[in-house]
Amino acid sequence: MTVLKRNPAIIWRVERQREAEVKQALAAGDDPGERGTVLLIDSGTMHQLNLVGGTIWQLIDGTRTAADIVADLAVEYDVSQDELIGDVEAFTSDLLQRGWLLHG
Amino acid sequence: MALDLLDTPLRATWDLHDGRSGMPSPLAAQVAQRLTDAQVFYLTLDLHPLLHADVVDLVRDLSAAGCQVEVCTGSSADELARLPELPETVPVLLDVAPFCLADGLDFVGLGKIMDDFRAMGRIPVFSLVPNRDNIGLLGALFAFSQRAGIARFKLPNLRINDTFRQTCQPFMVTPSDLDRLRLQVSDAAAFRSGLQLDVHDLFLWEILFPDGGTARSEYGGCQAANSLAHVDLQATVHPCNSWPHPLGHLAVASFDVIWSSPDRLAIRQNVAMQPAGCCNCRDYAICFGGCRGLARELPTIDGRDPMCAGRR
Repeated sequence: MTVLKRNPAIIWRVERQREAEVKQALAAGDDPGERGTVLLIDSGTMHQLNLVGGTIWQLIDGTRTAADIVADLAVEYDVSQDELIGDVEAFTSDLLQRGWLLHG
Repeated sequence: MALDLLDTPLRATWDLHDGRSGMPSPLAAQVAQRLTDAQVFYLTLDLHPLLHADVVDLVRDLSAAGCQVEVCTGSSADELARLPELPETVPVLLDVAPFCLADGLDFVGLGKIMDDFRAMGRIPVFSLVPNRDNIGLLGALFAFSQRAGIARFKLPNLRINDTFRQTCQPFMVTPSDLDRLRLQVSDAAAFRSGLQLDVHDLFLWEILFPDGGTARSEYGGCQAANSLAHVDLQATVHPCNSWPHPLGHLAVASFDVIWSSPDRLAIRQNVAMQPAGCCNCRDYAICFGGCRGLARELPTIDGRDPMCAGRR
């Protein structure tokens, strides 16, 4: 399995304050909604990734395979890898299709 | 998805040179570094940045850091002479206001400036701050743009400076001006002439895009001091260039620090308050009170955006 990396043409940043607020809301059992914690621009258009998508995005650093990302995410959110595999695969496939991710 | 509250701005305007004087080079370098550190996505170098000795280096460095930079220009020979030094990928926004005359468009002047740009292998983006005197010429300008091969036309917000009340208020577009424009725009798509339009003002945008669209799908109201910031010639940060209010100075503080300040948060709380004149308006959930900077600077009825015709 190849590693995944972010397309270097995609400019992005993490919104630390919002990320913290969303995590706090989740910890308190509240619904944080779809607040974006990672902002990125592709061809001049801005997009937002929610907390889980943003976490996956940050894990895709050119050293991890999809399986590595699932393993790290399982630790981060304290859930089984089986629960995550499908979602991570769908998310990374979508981003590969958009050209935001590349195979390393 | 809403954009409150961001760690630092996403878009900024920066007065690097106002036509008379420029920001000192060391300060300009520091501002550029602050913008890079803040990961500002979009930067417009406003007024006359091509008159600044360091503009090319600054644009190159900011672009290399991932910031999408646009450069405004007037039509002076000194400014045009710098154009070939700019990377071709950097959009150049030509202020076409000087070509809007009392008796119509200066087609000769516009044709000549287009020839100058073409000779340098460039096509500018046209930029016009709408005012009472020129808003009636939008149709002619759009049609000219289409014939001239212009792809993009920007209609920015009205800047406010120290002399605003004395010099600009009489030129502010009023709801009546917008009504007259609306009568001209029977077929908005045809009126737009195939141009990519960047329209800051919501009420003008409504006329040009009556069927809506995706361009404002993430509009969450006035973005002053949130996704938007303005840096003046002294490196003082303001909520936006329609809202002069010093929030901090980039020589002494980063955007992170300024955006965490009580003063900035007070501005956002101010923006979030529903103006009295907007109470029970069915469209408040769409406009959120429109431009709060102009509403603050120009005494308006119950705090409404001065371009708003009234409660709907």
